Amino acid sequence: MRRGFKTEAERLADRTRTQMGLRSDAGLPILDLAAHLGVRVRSADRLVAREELEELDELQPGAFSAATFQLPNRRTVIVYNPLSERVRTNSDIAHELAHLLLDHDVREIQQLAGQTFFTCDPEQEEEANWLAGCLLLPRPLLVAEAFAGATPEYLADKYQVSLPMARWRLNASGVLLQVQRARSTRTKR
Amino acid sequence: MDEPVDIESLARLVKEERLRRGRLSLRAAAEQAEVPFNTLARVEKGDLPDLGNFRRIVHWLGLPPERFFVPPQVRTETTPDVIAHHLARDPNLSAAAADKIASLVRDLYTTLAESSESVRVHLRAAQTFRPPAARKLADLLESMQASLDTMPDDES
Repeated sequence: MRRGFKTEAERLADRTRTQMGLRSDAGLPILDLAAHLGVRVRSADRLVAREELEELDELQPGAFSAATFQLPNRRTVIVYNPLSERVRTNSDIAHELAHLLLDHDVREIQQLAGQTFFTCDPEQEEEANWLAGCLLLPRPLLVAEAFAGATPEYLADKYQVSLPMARWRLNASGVLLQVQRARSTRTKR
Repeated sequence: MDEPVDIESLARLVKEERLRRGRLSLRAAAEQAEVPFNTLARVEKGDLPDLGNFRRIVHWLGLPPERFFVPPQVRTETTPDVIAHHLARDPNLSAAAADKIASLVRDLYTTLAESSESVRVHLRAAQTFRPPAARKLADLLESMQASLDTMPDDES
């Protein structure tokens, strides 16, 4: 990840939350963020038959999470997979919104010798993941919750994010370490 | 085999190349090929990587991408793919020369041909695909886009 991006992502998440009128330690209803950005969110089974999505899931479980379409008239629509759990969907929508906030290029579908290939920029995917985490679980929120003794399970349930997302944010943000150090300093005293 | 890209051959060649390069571990091979470890591990089990990683892996193998296109299925492909396929099998050309000509043709084609409508999306999906799943997902995304295109503004 490019140098300085992590700080930039925390700031961007904070700025976005401020624009929405949210406190920096408040939970973020992801559909509110989509509405704030003028993005519509639709379940894929409103556009294609649910059986088709189930067929894809049988071919490869978890193959499709979400997609963002840029339509004429500057319409942007995020389509999510209704077969995923709600908490997973929240993370997926946050990831898609992060791509938009970061003004990332779209990932293309290419046919090469009759085979469908998806193009992917790993750097941009990593950035979108990081920003999605900052949007859903910003650092000030994590600090407040971690000092109050919140577990990843509690965070996942309270803020409706996936458990891996809650665990990852506690670790990657450095908050868990910060709390552990603070506690060990207090114990030594 | 009913796939247009010879995934089995790709999986086998990756394993053989690891052994040939001094029994490299998957992790070491992934580092050399500059692809994620998980991706290379899945490719060795028969999954299809994304296009960028496919190119990196075949480059690491020292082979042109066309080496993995299966002849009977070439008929439905784009003109540059068909040309690349024949160039890769021309005995008068080295792999590098065939690749170079194919690349020139592809560049020229991209510049000069009328571009067709395609689905362009941000996509959150698996890192590697089983080939039938890749096709199915591409079809679904196309259907989703068509559905959205025909929806009135206030509904989409």
